[in-house]
This record gives sequence, C-alpha cells and structure tokens, in this order.
Amino acid sequence: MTNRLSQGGLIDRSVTIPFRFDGVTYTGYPGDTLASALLASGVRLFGRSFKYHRPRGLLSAGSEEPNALVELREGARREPNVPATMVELYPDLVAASQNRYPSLRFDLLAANGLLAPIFGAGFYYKTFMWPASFWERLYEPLIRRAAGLGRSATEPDPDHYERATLFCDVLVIGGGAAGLAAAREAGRSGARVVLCDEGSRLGGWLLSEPGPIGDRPAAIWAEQTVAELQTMDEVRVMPRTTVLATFDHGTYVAVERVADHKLMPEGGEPRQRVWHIIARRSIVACGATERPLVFGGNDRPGVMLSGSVRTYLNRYAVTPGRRAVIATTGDDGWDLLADCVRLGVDVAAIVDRRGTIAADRLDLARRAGAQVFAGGHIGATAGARRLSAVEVLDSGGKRQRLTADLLAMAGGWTPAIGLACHLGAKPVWNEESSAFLAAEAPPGLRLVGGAAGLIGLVQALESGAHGGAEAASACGFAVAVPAMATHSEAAAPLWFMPANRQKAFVDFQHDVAVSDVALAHREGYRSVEHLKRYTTLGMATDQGRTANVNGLALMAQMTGRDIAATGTTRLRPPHTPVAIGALAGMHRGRDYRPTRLTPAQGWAREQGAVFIETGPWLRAQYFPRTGEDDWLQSVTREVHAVRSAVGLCDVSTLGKIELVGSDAATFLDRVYVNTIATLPVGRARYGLMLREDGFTLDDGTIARLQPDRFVITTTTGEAHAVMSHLEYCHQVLWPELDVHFVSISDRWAQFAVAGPRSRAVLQAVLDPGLDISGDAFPFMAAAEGRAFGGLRIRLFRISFSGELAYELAVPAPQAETAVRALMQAGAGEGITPYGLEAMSVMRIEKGYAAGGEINGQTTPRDLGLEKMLAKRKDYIGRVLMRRRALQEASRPTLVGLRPTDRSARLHGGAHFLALQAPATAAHDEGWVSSVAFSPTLGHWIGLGFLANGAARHGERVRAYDPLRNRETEVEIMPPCQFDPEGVRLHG
Amino acid sequence: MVERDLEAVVLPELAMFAVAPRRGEALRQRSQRALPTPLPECGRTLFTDGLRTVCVRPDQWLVLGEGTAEWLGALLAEAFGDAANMVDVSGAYVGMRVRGAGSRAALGKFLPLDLHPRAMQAGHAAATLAAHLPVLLWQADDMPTYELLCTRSYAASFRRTMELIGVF
Repeated sequence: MTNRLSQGGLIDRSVTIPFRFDGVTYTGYPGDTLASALLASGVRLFGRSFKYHRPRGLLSAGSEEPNALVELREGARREPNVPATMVELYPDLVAASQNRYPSLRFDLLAANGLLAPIFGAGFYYKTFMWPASFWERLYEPLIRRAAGLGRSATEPDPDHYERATLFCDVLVIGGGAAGLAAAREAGRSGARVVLCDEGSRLGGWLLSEPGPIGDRPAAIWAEQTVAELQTMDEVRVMPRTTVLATFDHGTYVAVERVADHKLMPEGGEPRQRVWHIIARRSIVACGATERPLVFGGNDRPGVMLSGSVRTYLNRYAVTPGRRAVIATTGDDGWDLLADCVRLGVDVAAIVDRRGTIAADRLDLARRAGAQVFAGGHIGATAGARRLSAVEVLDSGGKRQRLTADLLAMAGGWTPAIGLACHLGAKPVWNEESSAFLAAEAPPGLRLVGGAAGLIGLVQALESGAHGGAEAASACGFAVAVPAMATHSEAAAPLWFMPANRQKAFVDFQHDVAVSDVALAHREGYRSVEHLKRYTTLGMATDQGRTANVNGLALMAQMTGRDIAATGTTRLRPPHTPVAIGALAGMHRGRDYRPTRLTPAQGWAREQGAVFIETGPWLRAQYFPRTGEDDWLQSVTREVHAVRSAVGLCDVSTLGKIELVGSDAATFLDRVYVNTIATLPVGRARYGLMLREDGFTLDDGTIARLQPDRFVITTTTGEAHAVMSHLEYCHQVLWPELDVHFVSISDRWAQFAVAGPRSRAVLQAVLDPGLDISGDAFPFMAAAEGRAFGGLRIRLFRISFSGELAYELAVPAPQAETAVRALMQAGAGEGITPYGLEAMSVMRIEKGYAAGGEINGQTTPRDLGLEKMLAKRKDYIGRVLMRRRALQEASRPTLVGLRPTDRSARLHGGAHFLALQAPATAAHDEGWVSSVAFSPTLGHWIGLGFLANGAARHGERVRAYDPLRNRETEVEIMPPCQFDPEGVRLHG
Repeated sequence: MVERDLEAVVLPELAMFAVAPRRGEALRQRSQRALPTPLPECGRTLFTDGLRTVCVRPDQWLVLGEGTAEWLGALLAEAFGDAANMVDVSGAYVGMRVRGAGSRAALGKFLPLDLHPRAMQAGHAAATLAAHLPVLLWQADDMPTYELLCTRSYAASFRRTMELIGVF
C-alpha cells in the first residue's frame, strides 16, 4: 500500500483484507472501498472508455463515478458496471476491469481513439444505415462487442431478493450533515423516522471533512449522532440503502444492499431488499455532486474531482498522487490545498478562475510552495496511461508546463435534486448558485443542505435541522422549529477552457466530448432533448450526474443563450442503476405470480391430467391414458365418452356470484339483455351482459334459488371484470337498489356431469328428496339439496356439451371427497373425466360462443343472439348497441364452417375471402374464431364471423391465412353442427 | 437473518357469512342485542366466545366461527330475521395465524400495510392485495397476533408466499 498515509483516515489498520483485481492480489483495510484500496496500492488505471477505449482512472469517490466501473464477483454472481467507488472491501473480493481486450494495459481497440475524428456523435446513425439487413446480423453485434459495458452472469442468480414495505412520518434521504441533523430533530420529537443513506457508514461529507463541528471532529459528531438516533425507538437508520425513486402519495422506492459487502449472503438473508417506503413527509438531503472542468485531456487517469481527492486523503488516508495541480472555480480547491499542506502532499500549482485571491490564501499557497495562477486555466494534459504533466495558462494566456501526476478539479456543485423532480417538477436554473434547483418540490417533500443548493457545513446543519423539525411538526409532533439564516457564496463558474486540439470530455462514461456537442449544434440538434439523444450525453448508467450541467452550459454558450433558456432534460427514476432481480423480489420462476387451483386439483393430478394455464388458473386440459401418444387421441376418446355415456369435468373456475335482496331481480334485469324478473324459482336461464358501448361483456347462467336469491355464473376469464362491473353498477349507478352480492367462486366447487348416462350417476349420489327425473327436473332446472349422505349441494341442469347434463356444486372443502364419490358412482356407467379441450370441442360442435367469439368486439347481433334481447325494458348497452354501424348487414356475424374437402384441417385466425377474390385486405369478409376436430362428425369444424353470415349458409369461401401461408376452402354452415334440434339436451 | 421470534399455524375450517343490511335496516344496533359479538364499525373486528365479526367495507360484515355453515346460518337468521341479506361463504377462505414479536417484520415483506402499533392495533381489520394475493386480515391481540385469510383457490400460493417470507 505504497500510497497509504501512515496515520489518519476512517480505516482499521489492525486488520488486513486480501482481494484480487484483474488476477492480481492486493490488500486493503476495513473501511476501504475497492477504489480506495486499489488507489492505495498504486493502481491508477481502472478501465477503458466506452467508445474510444481510452485509459481511465478514478474521477470520483462516490456513486456518480463514470470511469471506474468493474465486474464484481465471478460465475453466477458476476455483476457488471459496478462503480469501484461503491464497493466495500471484503476478504477475498474478486473484481475485474471491463471493456478491454486482451488486457487493461494493452487494449487493441484503443485504436478507436485514432479514428476519433470519424467516431463523433451520430456516427452510427450515419454509417450503419445500409444495407438494412446488415443491422441485426453484422452491425449491431459488432458495435456491441466494441462498445460493450461489462458482462453479466450467464447462469441463474443463486441469491434471493426481497421486497418489503415500510411506513414512517418522516423519511430522511441522505445521512450527511443535513440528513443527520434532520433525522435528529424529527426523531427527538417522537415521530417515526426512517433515515436512508447509500453508504455503509453514515456521515456523507462529514467523513471527508477534517474540520470540527463544535468541539468534536466532524466524523465523531456523525458517529455520535447516529448512535443517538439508534437509541430512539421510532427511528430506523438504514445504511447501504439508496432511495431510487419518488412516486405519488409519498411513496418512495429504495434498494438496500443487504449482503453486497460480503463474499455471499449469510444465514438466509437476501442479497438485496427493495423497500417501498410510504412517508407522510420527506427530507431530501442527498447533497451535491461536484462538477468536473472541461478542458483538453481532462479524462486522463490522475485527473480527479477535488472533493473526491479530499475524500481519499481524509477518509481513506490515501494519496491519489505525489505532485498535484489544483484547478478551481471557487473556494473548494483551496480547502484541498489546506489538506495537502497538512498531510504533506506536494502541490505544484493552484489555478483559480477568479482574478483576485485573498491574502490568507496566497499565504497558504506560499507555505505549500505552490504557484498561484489567478484568472488562469488548464490548457492540456500529458501522459500515456496516467497523468504526467499539466499545461497551465495564466491570465495573460501564457502557457506553462508543470510536472504532476494528480490534477484536482473543483468546478462547482450540482445539487442532487433528482428525487424532487421524478414527479414532473422542472429544475430551474439559479444563477446565484450556478446550479439547477428544484423550485417546485412535490407535496410533503423538502430539500435541505447541498440538495437545496446550500453548500457548506453550517448551512447544511441549519437547513437540515430546520427541515427535520418542520416535517415532524407537520406530522403533528410537538417540536420547536429552529430559525434558519440564509447565506450565499460567490463562485466563478467556467464551462469550457478552449485551448488546443486535445479531446475535452463532457460525459466520461459515454465518451461525449466538446466536439460532439459542437457537432450536434452544427447539425441542428440544439434542444437539450435532441442534444442528449444525438450525442448520448447523460444516457450512461451514471445518468450523466457529472456531465449534464456542463453539456447544457456548452450548448448554451454555442447558441448564445443563457443556461436558464437552454433548459435541462427531465430527471427520471431510478436515481442509480438497480438490478431487475431486486425489483422482482421473490416473484421469479414459478413464483412469478400466484396460481389458482380448483379444490379438486389433487384428484385431477392423480388422474394424470395435463394442466394448462388460463389466466391465474391451472386447469385440466385433458387426461391422457396409457397407449395414447397424442392429445387429439385423448380428447377424441373423452368426447366420445360424453356423447355415448357420461363424462365429468371440473368447472370450478367459472365465476360464481350470489345475489340476494328484494331488488336483486331488478338489478339483474338492468345488467342482462334478457328479462330475469320472470324467471321462476327453481329455474335457470342463459344470459348476456353488455358493456355500456353495446359490445358483449360476458355470458353465463342465472339461476333463481329463492324469490330474492340468485346465483349467476361468469366465464373463467371475465370473472373479475364482471364483479367489478356489478360493483360499479351498484355503488355508482343504482345505490338505492336493495341487493347484496358476494363472489362464491371459492365457496363452491362445481362439476359438470354430462352425457346420456349422467342422470343415473347423479341419482346414485343424491340423498333422497331431490327428484331429478326428466319431468321433475327439466332442462334449465335449479335446486338446492343434499348428496353424499348429508352434504349440502346445488344442482343445475345446464349443458355446455349439448348432452343431457348437470352441474353439481359442492362445498369447496369437500370437493375431493365428492368427486371421488361421483367417479365411484359412475364407474358402472363408464364415467370419464374430461378436460378443457374436450369441453371446447363439444361447444364448437354445438355452436356455443366462448372467448374467441365473445372477445369484446362483438354485439349480440354479431353472435346471432338478437332473439335474446328484451324489448320492453332498459339494460346497460342497449342504446349504443343500436348504432347504425353495428346494424350493417355487411358486419360479420357468427357462422359455422367445415372444410369442403372433409379431410382438410382448419386453422384459427384465417380470413374469409370469396372464392375468386384476390387475397387483399379490401376483400376480407371475416375471420375464423375457433376450430376443432369433431370426433362426432369425423372432420374439422369451426366457428367464425362472416359478413352477412346468417344469409350465406351453404356458400363456399376461402379461409386464407397469410401469416402461415395456408388456405382451405370451407363451406358455411349454421353455427350449430350437431343435434341442432337439441333432442339430446332435453333427453 | 430470518426472524424466528414468531409462530404460524393454519386456522381450522371456518363457517362464514357475508351480511349486509336490507334497505334502511340498522343492522349494527340490532346486532348489539341479538349477537354474542356485535357488528363493528368499518375497519374493525370483534371477537367473543368463538364468534368473530369483521367489517372491511361499508355496510358489509363478515361473521366467522368454528362450526358448520348450518349452525352459523341459523344463528344469524335468528338474530337478523329479514333485516339482513346474507350469503354463505363458508370454506371460501383458508386462514393462518401469525404471532410473536417478529411477525410485524416478517409480514412487512408481504403486506403493503402499516402494522406499527400506532397505526394498527388489536381489533383493527383490513382487506388488501398482497404479493398479488387477495388477503383479509386483522390483529387479534397485542402480542401481536395477526389472522390472515386468503381465498381458497390461492391456498397453495398463499402458503408458498408465507414460506418465502420466512413465516413458515
């Protein structure tokens, strides 16, 4: 650790931590970051730049770092693009530099740098345009290889992630001077306070500040304040937690890096945890980011931000160089000079943009032996893989070359206002502080300290304490709000030092130089949004935190406007990059979302069912048997079983809603197109519900169990939509109606027992008392009763198969017992379980509409159900359903179809064309909505919508599928192709 | 570390009715006389002698008890007569009881609700969507003990989620 100071710093020298970078073993101390430990060991070169592969070193010491991005960890845990400045050192840490080949020192693509004149902004747009087919195959892979960031792991992430919710009165974002002061004031009031800080150790700038607060060193003050906060029951201190985004109603999203500072997570802890923090008030105390200066060769390793140099010196006891030049636009560079004098770091010169310099500062420079360039600036730099010399221009423009391996730049501060702007507030340029400030913060949010443009310790402490007290007070906690004085400081911002031909970088991570901004300007991309997209300025993973303001200032200069008129791009979440895995939390793989299972799912599994996902449901698709090697074989067998004997199907997924109340019938009359009030007790009816716009919402059955009690069913897919619709109708449209309805979808399991032998099966399980003979319990009868020896059931004689059929509802907890009893009772009759496919085949044979037909774009007329429409009552959708366009004869209506060549197969999605018509959209006459192989008829059949369809039965048309390049000639049929008289249904 | 200072048990099958007043009926007042556990105000739950009443939306109460649907239906019919519109939802939910000092932190990974004692106390009830699951819950005592119900068809996912957040 050649560059480590012998004393000082917030590191523990009693423990040595070994780690590896690019295969070389180094050591560091607890308290180090990967960046500080490497810097202490003399490493200056951290990576290669994005486009030109220029050597790059550390620019900063924080999360704004654009250069020193590394791949952290190996194998399945490898994570790319991690700023070395944010990696806490742990034993056996492994990291590698990225974007270099074959090695960091000798990078072949550094040749790109020689081609820089042609690699300017817009290069890709202009060059890789032709031929278009080359883009995906050649250009993009090539560019990706050349301009890569790091490589992510290719194996599944072995770690897990959590999401959690946290509520508080006051959320304090940032644990520096302002944040600690805010949290302390708010905490003392008894308010529930959450304090988040992105670092492992709270204190922010205080950890880099050698000066005292009162009688204590700043770092000790920070430590003691944190200790005090930790004794408060209602205060939660969260280190390693970055607040990423602000959302409506005081919701903040933060990511806590729970185990990133360890070799691997321990004891079942997650790697990271995403917090949703809901705060009544929040204090943004994220501080400010120091701006680089823009001059030729400003990206050479050894050119660093002045404040970051102070952090390495004071916090990590590391000297980033042996001989420094300091370039400053304000007082910050002089603070660094004082540190250098105190710690014995050689300073060649200090270059201050301001023309006049106070006497005490000149004294300081004299003691340091540093030349002073008042009103001067930096001309250029020299050095191969690290800085070796700096060319300084004095106020008269005279050049002087100084030997130096460290150039510290203090270009002023950019307040971290992002979180205040996420909800749309525009940043406003403030000339006095030379920075964009959040003029209009979202409700309940307040910025303090550096984030509010209040640079300096005293202001940070004061504004923080004031903000914290005010927030607690706003939440109803008694606290005296301390008065706050306002201060202001003069600075002399400098946006560009024109000097020579060297590239002067604005955005280090995306290799955007002054010349690119100038090119954008020349080519007319002068709005900030165009500038950003044309040059990619500010679009890298660092979100241009060190680049944006400089870029805007340059454009302002070029267009002759001021910065306020130039404006700024919008700041959007996330504040820092976040892993998708962390956002997903526990919802990955099979846990991506919950699954709904029917109460008899276990039984179906035992029967060897093949399941299919339909929405959240897992439904039995078919039940293959030994010897069947094709789903069509199984489905064909199941259909034959139902048509010839009896089948059993779990239909529990259908939505079921029970309505009770003296106005229940009135309510249903208004939501269904057909009349419900006349339905007798003990009977059921098929019903259709429309949306207000006249299109069909859903279909189902309505059964009247008692004069004021109904049970309705919905389709599986629309169950939620129908329930929401009914809630809307009741709560908003007709709150005066006396009706109460509740979903009973989970209360009852329901089984369809269908086929000519179904009555016999049911008779065997029903308790005495319920007569289901044809006369006593005809088609569309409904009843409550008991079965299986006392179990309460509901029985409906409804059919989706066209056979004599019943639907039996049993209490969900007893579903498995019941289905086993049914199977046993039906064994002699040849009862066969059937799934979704067979059900679908039979409904197509019968011409019943389902999801393919009731698709949100069809009216009752389109579905051939006009006869159902009640004439003497009003109902939702009635008026708009009668729009002229929906009544046109040319509008496609439901038809059945079969292939003219009966051995041909039909395909869903094909379009109808007249036999001789050309295959163009202008001749499109409709489409095929559902198809199936009908085992009953021995050929493929289908349903579809054909212009003027009802009048065209018997006609032949083409079913043309341009997507799959298929065409079949089909014969138009009535929708119902099997047992049109319904003899079997009424059996 | 996963907090282990909590215990979780699956609740037994529950009889349950959704009760709403017929037009104009003052069901809450009526329940004071007629039920061992009267109907609470919205967002609250009451419990006496094995009977729990919960209110999580205006003018609708859930009444739960360990027993058969017949028993509970008869009890409520006697109490309310024609004054209430009632729907039997027995068995539509599965339940879990989570108790202990660690339960707040563990459930915070699941419920988007403020469980802090200043916000939620014994006798408070809520309905929410947690990790995509429809959940009904209340705080039963100050230990704290929480009872959570989830619709039956989601039972497997509900249990799996409880495992993932370290409750089971």
